[in-house]
Amino acid sequence: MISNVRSICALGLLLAATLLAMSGAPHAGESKSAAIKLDVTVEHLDNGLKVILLEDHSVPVVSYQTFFRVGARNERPGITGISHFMEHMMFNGTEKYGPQEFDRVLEANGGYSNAFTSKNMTAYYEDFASDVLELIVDLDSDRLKSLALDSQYVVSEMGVVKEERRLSIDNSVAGVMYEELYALAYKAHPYSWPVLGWMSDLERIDRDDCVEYFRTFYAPNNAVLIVAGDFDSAEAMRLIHEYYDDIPSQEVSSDIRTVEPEQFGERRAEVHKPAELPQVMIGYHGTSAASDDLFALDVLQTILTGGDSSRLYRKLVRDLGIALSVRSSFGWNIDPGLIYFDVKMKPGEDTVKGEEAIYSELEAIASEGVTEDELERAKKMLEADFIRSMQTVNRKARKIGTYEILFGDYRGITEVPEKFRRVTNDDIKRIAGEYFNRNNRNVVTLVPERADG
Amino acid sequence: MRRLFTIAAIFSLLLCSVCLAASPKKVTMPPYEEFTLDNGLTVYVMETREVPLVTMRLLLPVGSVHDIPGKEGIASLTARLLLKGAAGMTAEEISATVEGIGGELEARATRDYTLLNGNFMARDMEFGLGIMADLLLRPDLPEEEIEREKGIIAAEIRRNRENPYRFTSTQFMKLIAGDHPYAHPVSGNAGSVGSMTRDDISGFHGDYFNPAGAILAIVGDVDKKKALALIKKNFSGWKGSEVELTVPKLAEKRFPGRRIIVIDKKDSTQGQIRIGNIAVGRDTPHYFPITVANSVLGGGFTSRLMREIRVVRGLSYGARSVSYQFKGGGLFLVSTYTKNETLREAIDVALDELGKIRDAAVEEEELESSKRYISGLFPFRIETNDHLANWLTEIAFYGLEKEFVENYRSNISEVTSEKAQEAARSYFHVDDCMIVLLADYEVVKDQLEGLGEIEVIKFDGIE
Repeated sequence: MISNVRSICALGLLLAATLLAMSGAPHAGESKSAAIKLDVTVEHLDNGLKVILLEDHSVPVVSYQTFFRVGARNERPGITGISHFMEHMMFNGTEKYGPQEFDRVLEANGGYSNAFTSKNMTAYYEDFASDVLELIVDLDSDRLKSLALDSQYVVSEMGVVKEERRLSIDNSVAGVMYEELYALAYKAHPYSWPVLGWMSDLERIDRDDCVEYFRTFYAPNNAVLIVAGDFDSAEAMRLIHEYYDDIPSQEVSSDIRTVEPEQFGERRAEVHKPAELPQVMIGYHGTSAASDDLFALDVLQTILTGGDSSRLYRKLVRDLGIALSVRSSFGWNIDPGLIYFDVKMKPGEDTVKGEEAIYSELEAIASEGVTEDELERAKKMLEADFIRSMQTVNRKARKIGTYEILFGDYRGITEVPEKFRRVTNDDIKRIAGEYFNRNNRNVVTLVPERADG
Repeated sequence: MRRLFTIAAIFSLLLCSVCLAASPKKVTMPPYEEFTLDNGLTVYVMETREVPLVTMRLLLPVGSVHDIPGKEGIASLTARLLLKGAAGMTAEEISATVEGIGGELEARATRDYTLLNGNFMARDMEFGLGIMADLLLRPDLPEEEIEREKGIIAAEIRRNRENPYRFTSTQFMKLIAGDHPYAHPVSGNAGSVGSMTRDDISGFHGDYFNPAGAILAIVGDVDKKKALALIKKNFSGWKGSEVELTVPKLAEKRFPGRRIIVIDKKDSTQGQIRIGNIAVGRDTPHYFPITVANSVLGGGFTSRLMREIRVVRGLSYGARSVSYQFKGGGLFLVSTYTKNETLREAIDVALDELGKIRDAAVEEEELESSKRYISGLFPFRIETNDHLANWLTEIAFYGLEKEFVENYRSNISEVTSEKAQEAARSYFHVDDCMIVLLADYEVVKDQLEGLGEIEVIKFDGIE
């Protein structure tokens, strides 16, 4: 998912593809009845907070993560960017721990915290040594109880967020194009605006907006708490009860009404910016997390742009030699999201050639399907990626949280391997025809200009 | 072969026996075996049992620091070409075979060394070692692939100009390192890359891709004996040249006085700021005091630069300092960025903080907090096979003590306020420093008055 996070290491994430990788498809000919079970403790507190504990004593560290069902999709014009801004403000003090105290106490106890906001969700995490669990439970629950939203810090933190926007969008050609692509593809639905928000809204959002937004969405019954690592589940649950039970639930709905209407023809836009290389982004309306097409789409994405053996890399970068790179994002979203391709051309190459090459491959797949080799390779890559993504407590907790928000249930993870396994060549053909049609297409091209004017 | 399709199994972690308590306990890596082949290749094998994966990391002590003058980027190009044809396999066959079993292979040069990195399902170790040996010892260097790769690199060099943060850092390195080979980017420049021939590359590979000094670390769910046997089978026949590699020292002395350079880029709404000087290489005896002092100045969210530039003033999204340490020397660098209107303010705050950490000893509470932060997070740096393989190769390559990981926390805990200040005074310079800015000069010109003499370079005039 496209995320904007609190720290500088976020840069690379701006255009990173989503959860590409989830599978447990076995070797051809090997065990077919692989059962998957998650050894977790789950409890719903009376105030609606869902708690998921994954005990693991291999290393004395813990990752403590809170996922809220709120993201840019829950905003409206005038306050775009407020979800991400709230993420920043969650680090700026409560009644108990004053401004700067959260990070100070955490770091002084050997912990690290960060957070990210996407169009669909806002998530916070602390990674720390297991002997300070109670302190973290206190620090994190405290933010829900008595967030200060001090006016002075609203002003200075907005300065920080504007710099984040200048860095990752306004002074980045890819950032501007990406923003333009979503604004082009979505005319009604809130996926239209950037997670970072429009600059004019950042100029106007004030403390009252924040108080209202926090009250609306930061309720225990709108959150999932996941703790993974070295702790005793009974003891952790006792602490969680102790610190969270007195937080009242609220009436809250993260549902949104607007459904993006059908698109009836290709839409095109240009971006003129100082730049070195031509670039084109091509986006198609995709599907929501509720659709089983997600899995066939992920397999197709891997076939198209996963690794040096992928179709589009071979064609655009190697055979035709017209592009420097070709990437794609088939991100998973609560509402139908955007499937997009991002092609960085070589100097002087026309983006039209890049577009044509992609369209002809997509058409070929819609009519002829892919080879069995390609299908098997993609499934193998997804399988290995899934295992690689399970090597740290942080990533395990994140996976559980993501599934909770997107599918409403972490147990969706257990079904993923089977869903990938079941993807057939006919599925690939069908979805290629269904999603990649011209009337559903949005194209943004970059027209490079010189920086010296 | 162990299979893994229960999440329960996936969810149990790599074993690293780590203990944390009030006073920092030792962190230990899993046991491993060290072995040297007759040809000089150093081998490490470490068994970890929790995920059915294996990391194979081969480090060659040749990097862009050894690029031939006029052929800057040749180490990088040579590394990249390993994947583009070897032992009769085409580039397409290599990628399709590796990816067909869910494997990953990367080959790249850094300033000091070249890496060939494999990440495979543990059951595929034999295949992985075989193909890594083919790539390393028997590259075909096809003409067509050389030309294609040169074209891609030329385009990448231009693409890198589109990222102001990265571009400014690259220019800082170029300016501070002067005529040392650390000055040029690892990928080289358009002219030098364009001039490379197959003979150049083949000669570079023949001269410098030697087993003596090379390090291979295997970490994962594999059997030690089997791994050693396969390594011998694949790498014993590797014969090197007699050519010796040396790493020239970066200027021993720091850059004297203050030099201010503005890279003039129109239309920027945000200015990039870099302040720094020559500092120390990885062999410094002051590694831990520098680590602590740097963490206080520009490490985590509570560092002084973050606090003063971001939290208190809201001037930037990020502000940090880094001690870059290479084999032949290093540099110390403060990086931040801010909107045009506040460029001078951010520069002044950064200079002010550099001065403060030199002039006054760090108070006990701040020092302790910083040390606990560094120590507390250390176990997260030995969580995965990749982390462990990286430690094994780095320790060997930079000649660090064998117990570097195990002693890390006690070394951090021993840093005193005096030692941290001494490190800051020695390496974090404020009177002698180079300041490189990337900004729209017309817009920020007036603010810079009084900072010192300013040299302006046009963005489009720089490669």
